[in-house]
Amino acid sequence: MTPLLQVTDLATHFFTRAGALKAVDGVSFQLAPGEVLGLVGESGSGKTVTGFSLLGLIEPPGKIVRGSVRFEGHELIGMRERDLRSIRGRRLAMVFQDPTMTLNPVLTILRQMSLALQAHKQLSNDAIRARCIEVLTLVGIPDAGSRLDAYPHEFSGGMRQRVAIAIALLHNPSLIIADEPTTALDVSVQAQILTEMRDLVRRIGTSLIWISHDLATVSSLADRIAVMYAGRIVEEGPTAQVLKQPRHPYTQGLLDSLPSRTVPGQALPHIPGMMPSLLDLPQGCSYAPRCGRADDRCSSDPALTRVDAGAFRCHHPIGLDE
Amino acid sequence: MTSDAFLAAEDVSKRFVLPVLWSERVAARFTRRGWIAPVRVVHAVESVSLFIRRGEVLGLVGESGCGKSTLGRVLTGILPASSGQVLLEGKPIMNAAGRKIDRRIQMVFQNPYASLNPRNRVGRAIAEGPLAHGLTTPAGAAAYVGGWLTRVGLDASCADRYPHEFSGGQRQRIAIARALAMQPEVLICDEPVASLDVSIQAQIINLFLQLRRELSLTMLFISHDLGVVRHLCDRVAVMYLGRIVESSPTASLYEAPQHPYTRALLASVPKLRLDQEAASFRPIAGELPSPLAPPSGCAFHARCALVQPICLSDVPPLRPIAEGREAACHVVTAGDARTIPQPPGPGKPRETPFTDKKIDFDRDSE
Amino acid sequence: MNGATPFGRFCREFCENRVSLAAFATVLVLVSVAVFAPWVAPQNPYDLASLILADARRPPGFLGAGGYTHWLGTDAQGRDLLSAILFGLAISLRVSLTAGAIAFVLGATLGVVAAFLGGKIETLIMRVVDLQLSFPALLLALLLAAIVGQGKTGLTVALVAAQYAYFARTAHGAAIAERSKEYVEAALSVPLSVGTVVFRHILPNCLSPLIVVATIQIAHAISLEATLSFLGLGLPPTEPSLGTLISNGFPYMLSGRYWISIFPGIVLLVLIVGINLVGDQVRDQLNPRFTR
Repeated sequence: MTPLLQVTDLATHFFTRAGALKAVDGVSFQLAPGEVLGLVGESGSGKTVTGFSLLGLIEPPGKIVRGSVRFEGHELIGMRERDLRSIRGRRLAMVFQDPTMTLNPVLTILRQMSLALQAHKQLSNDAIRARCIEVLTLVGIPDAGSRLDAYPHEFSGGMRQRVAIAIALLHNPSLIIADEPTTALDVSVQAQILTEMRDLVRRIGTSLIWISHDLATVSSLADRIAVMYAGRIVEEGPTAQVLKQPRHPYTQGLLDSLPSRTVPGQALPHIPGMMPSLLDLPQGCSYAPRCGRADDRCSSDPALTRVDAGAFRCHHPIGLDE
Repeated sequence: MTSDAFLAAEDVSKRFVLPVLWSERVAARFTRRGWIAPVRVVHAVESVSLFIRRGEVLGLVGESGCGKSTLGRVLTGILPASSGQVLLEGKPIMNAAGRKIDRRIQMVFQNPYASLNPRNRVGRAIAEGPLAHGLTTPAGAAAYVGGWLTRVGLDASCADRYPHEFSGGQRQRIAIARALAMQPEVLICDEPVASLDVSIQAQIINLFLQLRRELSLTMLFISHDLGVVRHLCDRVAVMYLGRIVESSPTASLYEAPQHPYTRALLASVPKLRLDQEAASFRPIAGELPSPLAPPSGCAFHARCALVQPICLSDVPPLRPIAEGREAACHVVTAGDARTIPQPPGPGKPRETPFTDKKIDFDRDSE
Repeated sequence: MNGATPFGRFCREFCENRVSLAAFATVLVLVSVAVFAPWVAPQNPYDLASLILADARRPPGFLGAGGYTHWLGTDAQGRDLLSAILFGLAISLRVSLTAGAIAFVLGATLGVVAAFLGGKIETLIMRVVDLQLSFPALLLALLLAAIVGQGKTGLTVALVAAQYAYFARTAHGAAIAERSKEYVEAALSVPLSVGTVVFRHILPNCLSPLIVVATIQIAHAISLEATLSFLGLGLPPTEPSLGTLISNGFPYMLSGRYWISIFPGIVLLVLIVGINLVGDQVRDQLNPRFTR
């Protein structure tokens, strides 16, 4: 089956006065139709920039310097802005972290949604209204008909995020990229939205890339997980495999530092040091300075190794080291 | 109130009166009320009584809007309570004018980027309080600051640099050093690891564990992250809409939560256990009510699977249900705690969303 | 390490913009010659004994009886215009900067204190400030100058009164944003005294917008002062500032002796435009940016 999305060696650099910031430096993955990919990483790992790059939302001083993004058979890198705009929102949609940024505070929900609809389709007012009610009900907003004339500030944070997801669904896109959509929300609201997204994705068959720093959230939703570090994917594979049998020491380190995995009161195993500055990445494996398994071999860049249904970049993978 | 309470809150309430807009007054004129516009009061904290023993770490858990941050600030002395009082070793921490007089309670804030004055060098930020209160002299300040910086795991030379030169985790260490430089007896931490990355979180949690051991600190740890709280705290208090709904030693709270909200909250958090492949969780039905318009009776009644008629009319008081455990629930405290059935799965939402305009919590304009 | 301090970085970025660097250099030159006027100027224009009436109203480039060339000509009393401009520049700058500094301190303090105290005091102070802002500055300055009378004091009072409101409003807005930040809460929770928190924590962080307002207001003050002097309400004719010089030369404009008004006017223009350009660059640089 041809993948819905095929990303090969994507690299996005930011050319600042202080030098070239390699936010994304050679990211490759693919996504099948209906699949959910969890893109996990800490701040500075490049996960958000990856999402933005897929949509072509990188502005100067950032620039996609190389790579290919094939979506539904079209090459997105280098595409004209006009053609990109016809894809964005229609075939490929994004949900952002902060719903207050997505929703215009001076427009009613109906107005915003109809603007989004009419960007790609000409519809009668009744048809617009009907479609809006349809997607709002789909994302779990009760009594959608009367909500349409409300303003964003009349909704709670969780509701606003649901509206943002509904807007993304308006044109039945085949792929939605969600950039930490529940991070800013309360725990219980997070849980609600996660469940709804899970059911939604299964029902409609939309593919989803869920970007997050929280392994637990992502694992409840994703079919595959890709772990990013300093602009690269260091490990990816089916969720169960990555969580039960991580190959890369960073993945293992992330899992170990979760409080739920240590006896209360004991010191948590933690990864020493910090993520390197993207302006000044070390030679070879960028995780080596913090890795307990590093040796001389790690001064050269580890290549992508495929094992079972997953892949990793490491000279000393866990469980497979000779 | 037990006799070994070190820091105690006695029936503390904190209400904010939202300023009435001129336009609302005009609107009120046209809706039968004359010129008096309805006054809106936010009940951030309502009749909270809790205590922390010396050397104990109490966790304060809840979602946004439950009032835990406000309660933390009242306990630190940043905000005066609207009613009730806060006592340290039996003595009030505020004077009659509403100014804090006891320097033995200090706070570590949530946002490491905003809690340090960007114009001050780190050394000055840490030394300022101790100098003003006579804990060190201008001559000895450098050494004093260096000592605290080393204790939180930073190099003493950091004192000459500005906050923007440090990462989030390092800034949080500086904030902890600043709080500790005042040699407090009680440290109140308001979500200190919430804005940090997972791997840095682990480092800071370990730092807290270490400092607690070395300095025998008494701590109040406010957080929405149940996993972190479980790891650090001896006892946990759960807040919902301004009130404490359950208070219990950590282990028994997580193993056998009693209050329906606590149970639902614990069940709704995706947890990754070693033996599981994917995280399991069950969301709570309904929406958080607004602190502007708290429901009558028990604030949780609209989302509770065990709701009884009395829950709609009477606010349940916090009552002991077992050794060292308290809960505020009519149903749970009525009968035998162990026979309460598990609440069923998510129901249909019954609350309507509220207006959550940003509220200016800076000043008590009562 | 120059780059480490905020000021060092600021200067480096400033120097990268050629236009504002040139403007800054020009202003610096003007200020320097004004400061060193007594030594640089060929003639002391206040020394009535050195004036040669026969050389009055001579065009630029005229070799005068005093033995030196009047590069910019002479005015109606035979004063060397170049010297008169230099001394006038010095006076203009002195008065404007003094008034500006007083307005800055007064306005900033009022604004920050109002923001911190809140409640009725804040409302009272800010309503007075608002009232003042709605008055045209020139009108207010005219009224005050007319009431207080001619002379340096009157002029300074008028300028301060016309300007402090801008500083107060800016400081108030900035202080309101700062007072809800956590570092202020942290300072209050130590506890540090209110004075310490206001003047050593809140005020320094409000300086960025205040400095921008200050650079713009200096130019404003200079042009206000020139206007008042032009109208005869400012300094006495024995101490002519640039505005007075322009006014003095006005009757001669149509009779062909343009230089008596034009040259002071050009100097005034260059000074004000230079300060504005510097102010623009300062404003752009002090814009809040994302810092990670």
